Amino acid sequence: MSLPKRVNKFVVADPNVCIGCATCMAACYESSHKRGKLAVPRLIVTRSKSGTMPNQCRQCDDAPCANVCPVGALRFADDNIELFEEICIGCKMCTLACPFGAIRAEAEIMPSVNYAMEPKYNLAIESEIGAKSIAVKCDLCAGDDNGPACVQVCPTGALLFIDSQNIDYKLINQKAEGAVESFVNTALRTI
Amino acid sequence: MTNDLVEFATDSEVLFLIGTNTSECHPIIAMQMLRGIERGAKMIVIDPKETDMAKKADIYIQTPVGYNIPLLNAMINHIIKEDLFDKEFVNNYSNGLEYVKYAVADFTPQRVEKETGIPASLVIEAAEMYAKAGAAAICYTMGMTQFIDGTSNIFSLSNLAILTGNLGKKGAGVNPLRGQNNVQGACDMGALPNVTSAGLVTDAGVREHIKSIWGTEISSKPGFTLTQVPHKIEEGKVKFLYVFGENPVMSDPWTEHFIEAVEKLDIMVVQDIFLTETAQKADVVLPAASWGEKDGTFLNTSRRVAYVSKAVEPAAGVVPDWKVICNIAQRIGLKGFDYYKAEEIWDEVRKINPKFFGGLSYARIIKENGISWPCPDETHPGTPVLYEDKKSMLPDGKFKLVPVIYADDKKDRASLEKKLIDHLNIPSDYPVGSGALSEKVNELYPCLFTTGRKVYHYHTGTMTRECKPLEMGADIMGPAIEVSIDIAEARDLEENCYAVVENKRGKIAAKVKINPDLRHGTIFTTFHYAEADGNELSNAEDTDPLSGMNPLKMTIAAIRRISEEEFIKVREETDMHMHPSEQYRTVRR
Amino acid sequence: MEKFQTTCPYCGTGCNIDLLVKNNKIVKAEPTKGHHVNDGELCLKGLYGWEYVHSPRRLTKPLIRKKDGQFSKEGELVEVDFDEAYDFVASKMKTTVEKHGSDSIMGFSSARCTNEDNYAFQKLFRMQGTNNIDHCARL
Repeated sequence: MSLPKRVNKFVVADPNVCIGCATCMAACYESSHKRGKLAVPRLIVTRSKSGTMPNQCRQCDDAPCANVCPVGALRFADDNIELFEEICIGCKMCTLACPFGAIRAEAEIMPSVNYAMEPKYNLAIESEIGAKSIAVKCDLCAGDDNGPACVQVCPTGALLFIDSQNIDYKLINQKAEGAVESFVNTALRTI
Repeated sequence: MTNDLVEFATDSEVLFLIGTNTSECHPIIAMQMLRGIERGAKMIVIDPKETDMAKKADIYIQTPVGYNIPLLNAMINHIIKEDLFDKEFVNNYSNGLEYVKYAVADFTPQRVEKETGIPASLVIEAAEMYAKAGAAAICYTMGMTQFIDGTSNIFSLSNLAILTGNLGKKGAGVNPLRGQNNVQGACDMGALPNVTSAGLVTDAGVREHIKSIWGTEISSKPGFTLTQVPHKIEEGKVKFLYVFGENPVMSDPWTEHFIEAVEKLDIMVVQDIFLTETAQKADVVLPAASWGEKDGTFLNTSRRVAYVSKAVEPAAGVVPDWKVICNIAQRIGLKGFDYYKAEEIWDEVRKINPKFFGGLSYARIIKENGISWPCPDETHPGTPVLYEDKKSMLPDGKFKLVPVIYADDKKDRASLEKKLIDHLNIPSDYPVGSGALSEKVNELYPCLFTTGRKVYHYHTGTMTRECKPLEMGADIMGPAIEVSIDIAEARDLEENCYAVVENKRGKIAAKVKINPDLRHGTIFTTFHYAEADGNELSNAEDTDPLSGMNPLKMTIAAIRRISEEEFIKVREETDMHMHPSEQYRTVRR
Repeated sequence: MEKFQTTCPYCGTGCNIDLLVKNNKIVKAEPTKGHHVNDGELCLKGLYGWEYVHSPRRLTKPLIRKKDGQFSKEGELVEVDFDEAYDFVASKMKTTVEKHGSDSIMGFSSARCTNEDNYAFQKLFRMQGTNNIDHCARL
């Protein structure tokens, strides 16, 4: 008998190889549009002084967003945090609770809006009457058999899809080996 | 490019990136460079903006906008002084070492430090890293060329490559990364005022050769450059302008001036796939088939001729651009425009320039997935690396080291050049370069203003802004004025507040983004958006004396915070002159 | 579904794309596997930058600026048929050359169009005795 192994799946980027090309964002838009979700990117290429990488939901095991959601729109699923867009009331509590800034409140862009006059990146707050903003976060392209679209398209292979099968190898063991290697090679020699 | 871009991944030991934001403008070239870095290649990045590539670089030098020649000369100075240059290559295959030695004598890494605050040690480190590499590739884009000393900037780069013997071998070379799909092709096809597809218009042999194929004598007088056109229209010299597949109202410098000029034309014809800002001001608009609806060939930045396939049928009556041109030529009564497929035109090109294209039939291009010119015959494998025989394309087969000097005032350039020529007894047919800033910041316009691209859009946005995953997906920000931290602090600008940037030529309003990657005193914006087009402010008065290029990458401007009401007012004014007819104001992407 | 291998219309890299076409509509773009230049990868413009081909805002009819049915600089752009537009441009080009000389016409060619388009365009101008031709590579 084996114990069930529960590790939330997640997508994470390697900033060492990310070139900030935003191909993942376009893929995310396309995927959410095709799957009938709110058509906005769920990961945002974020530039900082020291480097660039896309930022998205980490699917935390004890997710603050799901804990804080008053209507159960964010729920603990088997291996991720699920978001039911149709239940969301747009209270934005999850956006405040998320420690990674990975949940945003977004409204659908309205064809009636004249975007030359209204910079679109402020729509979440300044949206038209009738366009309710809702929480948006990475859903790992649920419903697409090929897995997260961003991981498939990344030209430099900077995005990794981590699940219980490969977390040990890709994120932990490899690095552990690397750390031991460098310790043996350099640190130990000088002791 | 002298080399093939894939060599960045496989052969280059050092990548020397100057004036290029490779990861935003050429993501797949950046990917190949990254593969090179994973292999162990080192990277030097020189740019006023700390780009994503700069953050991955081994050495990053943040230059003021336009400060290229003093820096490159200082590097050359150090390389010569420390005897790091490739004596075998320089002595056997080049001319002009003495000229360059003299021209760079005044430029030291210490001078660079004094003038800009860039540590001299960093300049030395970069020079040595480049010079000591077995194969080092120089890559540049418009951040080198769009200045009044653009040609001299490139002289300096080729000096670096010649001095260190970085020509004619894999992974080295001088590599302009072409910003548009077929810049190389348009140049090689002779869409230039002084060059035909066979060579210079001033060359009698070239004209004779063309006459033997076209049956018509061509003019020996070089034509006007694109940047001269607004002035030539105002002087009454140009009466008829035919624009195809470009949007100069947005992409040419100083929008207002350009619009005023084209209004004076007798007739402007625009041939395009959309009713662009330029087409809206035209007298005749001709639709044409787009990419995907026609076949033909493109020439990529590595001089690789690649096939473009027709995938879908265009709307009824809409034909490829070349067919539209033939329809008009035949109605004028010109002979030699009876092509019925694109391949026939290409076969004529092969006859016009057999040295480059002779061996490149459609069948072969398709079969071999693209081949780099020169490819003179069907058995020739193509030439991904130029100059492998260490012979230049000049008559004497030698590479020219060009002395490049720098003037504090742009008015002194010619006299300084003359002084240099007289002092060194340089022959009159030997090139000499000089640099200077087109404009200097002053009290009224205290900020440097530069433009560039964002990865999700392309040029004036005619195509990309019609694509939802790009316009709505990747571009979540829209037009923004990016400012350095010091500018934001001095003017009380906050992230996302409204601001207007203006100079004597024009103004644009957009939201502010504070970008810590910009060098102090710098404002950056794009030219993708009709509603806030950076070229409204660009300098159209000053030109490079050698190429006629305007300094699109550099002007001066002032910025101030504005209210939402004023923001809307400026946007409405912009909208009025970009889309003057009420009829098309709603045609907005 | 049909597949066409082509070259990307955006930057100068020259990545190869496999376009998937269904009922005369492009439905998907995929990177050409194992291609020399892009080795099975594409950036966002290559993957998603083809939608404009099928945009409803594409031009499909020529337009001439007219007022009361006649060509006029003060008029509005109105749809005309192809023959009228070609005839009009040809006659204006011819009369301009006759009246003001060959160097009074100028052409802006396009670095986004094919070699064949560019070649035909410069030939049109050079055959009329002028070298007034340039393109947007500078921009």
